[in-house]
Amino acid sequence: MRFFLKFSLILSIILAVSSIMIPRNTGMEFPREAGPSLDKQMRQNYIDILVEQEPEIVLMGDSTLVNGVDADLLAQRIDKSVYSIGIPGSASALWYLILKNNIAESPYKPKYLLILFRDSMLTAPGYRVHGSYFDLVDEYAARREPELIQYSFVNLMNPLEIVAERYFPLYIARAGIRGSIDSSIRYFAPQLAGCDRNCTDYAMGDIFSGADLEPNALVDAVAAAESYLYSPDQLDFDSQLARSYLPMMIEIAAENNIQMIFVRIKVESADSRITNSPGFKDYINSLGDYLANKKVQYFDYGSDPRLTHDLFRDSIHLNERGQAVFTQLLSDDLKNMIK
Amino acid sequence: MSFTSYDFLLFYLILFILYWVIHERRWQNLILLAASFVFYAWMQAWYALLLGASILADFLLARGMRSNPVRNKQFMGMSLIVNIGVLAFFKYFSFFSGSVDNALENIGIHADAFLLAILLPAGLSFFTLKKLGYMIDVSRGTLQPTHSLLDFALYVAFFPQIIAGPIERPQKLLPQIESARIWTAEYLYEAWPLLVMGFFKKLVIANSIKVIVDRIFGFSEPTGFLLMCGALGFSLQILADFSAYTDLSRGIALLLGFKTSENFNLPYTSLTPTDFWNRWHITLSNWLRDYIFFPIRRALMQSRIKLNDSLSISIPPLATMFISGLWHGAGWTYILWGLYYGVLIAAYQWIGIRGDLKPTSKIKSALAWLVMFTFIVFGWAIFRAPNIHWLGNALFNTPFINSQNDLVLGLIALTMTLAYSLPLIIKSLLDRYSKDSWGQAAYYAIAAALIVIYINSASSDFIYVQF
Repeated sequence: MRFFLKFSLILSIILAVSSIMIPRNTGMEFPREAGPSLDKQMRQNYIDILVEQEPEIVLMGDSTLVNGVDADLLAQRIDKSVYSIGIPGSASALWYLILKNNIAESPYKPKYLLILFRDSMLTAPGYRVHGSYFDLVDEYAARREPELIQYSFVNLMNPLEIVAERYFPLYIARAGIRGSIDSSIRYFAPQLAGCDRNCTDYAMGDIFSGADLEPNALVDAVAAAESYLYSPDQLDFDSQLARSYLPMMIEIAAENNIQMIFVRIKVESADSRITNSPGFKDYINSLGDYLANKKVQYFDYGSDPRLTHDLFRDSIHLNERGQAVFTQLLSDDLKNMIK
Repeated sequence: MSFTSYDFLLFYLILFILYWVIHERRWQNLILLAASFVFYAWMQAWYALLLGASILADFLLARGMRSNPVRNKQFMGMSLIVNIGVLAFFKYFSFFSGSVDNALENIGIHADAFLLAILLPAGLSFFTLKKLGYMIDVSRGTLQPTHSLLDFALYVAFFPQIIAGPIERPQKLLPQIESARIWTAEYLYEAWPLLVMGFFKKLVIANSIKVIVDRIFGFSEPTGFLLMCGALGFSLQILADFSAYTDLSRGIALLLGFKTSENFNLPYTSLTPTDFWNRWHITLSNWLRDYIFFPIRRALMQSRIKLNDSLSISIPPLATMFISGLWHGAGWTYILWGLYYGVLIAAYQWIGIRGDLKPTSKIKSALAWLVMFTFIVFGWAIFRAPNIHWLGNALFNTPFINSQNDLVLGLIALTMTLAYSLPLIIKSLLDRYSKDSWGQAAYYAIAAALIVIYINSASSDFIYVQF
């Protein structure tokens, strides 16, 4: 018992000192709102681009858009100007912010906005918002984004995390402290060998860029990253819809006379047990029904047999031939719709 | 449900309160059994059905051995067929499923959905060994089978141990299940250091080093230097990860009034391969020793065919470690890893170095440690390699260092390994020289604060859960 008391006493001192020092050094006030703090800067680069280029059609999506659609070829085939906002690593949170803070704020509004997505991405607000993705999201966020904080962060926290986020300074400061510890360890030995911080960062960037990965390791890494989209919670369309940006995105577009078109693209990353499961099929059907009810156009290439295995570069990205085939499919459907 | 998840915290709190509110042993056992099945079914409901059916089968077979001793061997044979058959089917099915899948496709049967649905139920390897140990002991007459299906089921399904051990012997756990348990604060005083260390080793050490280890073992053609750094990192990761699981399992069991077995005793201080296996995954080593190694050695000694000394020394460890490798996974790297240790144990015995080696000087001791530690790290390189071709390529076909980037990444991996090893080294020194001191209390308090800093809601699973 004495040992337990010694431990409790020292731990209490550590927590008390950190609870005084951290707010003092960081300027944070407690209790605070749960969720991350957003910086004051907000990028609005697409406002200028839209004004300059006045595209009739804007495409938005992640690296699957970059690899999957040739915007020039699409423009040529449908005889309309096209601008592509393809941001690798982006997902519904970032698309919502760009729509709200850039496209809707621009004096020039495109006629059509195509959002290319994979499977449950539209109703997964917690996908690609943590870690290094947060920096990207923060770039396009205003100082206050209550919906973003609620949908992408607070809704995903358990009650214990919410309490810790509000009242526990050490918990709030954990990312910064951990970053300092990691940096001290990471740069220590290379510096002794004459490689400074820039040199170390360059080497790490080069190594961690994803090249030279063992094929199975690459497939596993992609599948692990994507697995979030196929968890039972994410495939429950009805419960996810109200917690997602999808209704707000449709509303913002409608308010700005922009016709939204959602494009589900094909991927090979998901386990066939999941994509063949009734739960997944229900999700896809519910999404289609919802968009039809909202009178929003929806192109579903998710299981299109014309996009064969040989057209993929890896489990989620199309190769050059795949890009040409998919651009042609999309342009045909767009042409029919616009007609 | 991982021990480090919020779901588990809620589950355990509810169980803890219910369990201690009730004082009657049978009801406590019933609650624990129900909780164990809920815990197990959390991943896949049908896993619990498989568990229940296999418990019932072995309970009846053990009762059969007792009531009908003449047919003892038949009952034991049936149990072996059922247990090893189920384990072999689930564990090695996926190993062969690719080829079975292709064969079925050739005759026009699309079996993908069925084949993919056969997944290894978590913990099957662990509870199968638990049941087999019980059955063999009953068959040998060294253990009286329990009359209570409830007690036997709880022994097998006991949730702190069902996913990744320790592989508890019936002689230790069953008497505790059969005795009354009343809450005492001593349980808390014994459990909290295990819980703090379990969370610390998993969240702070294992998860941190995992990032760089995964990257190195994910390269298509790593250099020899990177392989060495990755293997060192993985040596730390697997020790921290697996011993964390054991600590949490023991702490959780202690808070319910059960004292369970330790699985690790400073394994990286070993001087010989036998010494290593006496310190690493102790409950598995003991199981393999008692039910595989000794019976093989006894059979060889009693055999009419006289083998030469080399063979009689080599066969038992080779066979035992081959089975150990196979038990760890359906892959050639695991089999090679098992055989590697079999060869090492036999080689040490050939040259006359016993498991309880006591070098006469500090230099000899340091040398023996360095040699054994190198063998251990190389063993983990085999274990963690994606496949044998990859390992061969990294060892023989790539330069030791290829570029400055390799050197930088290797140095970072080495620094991380050293930095995250330090807490474990300090802990073992404190345990040895300064137990229950203010220094050790401060160590635990700092570890608890670091857990808060390193906690991450998206924590990865324990490595040994997959076995």
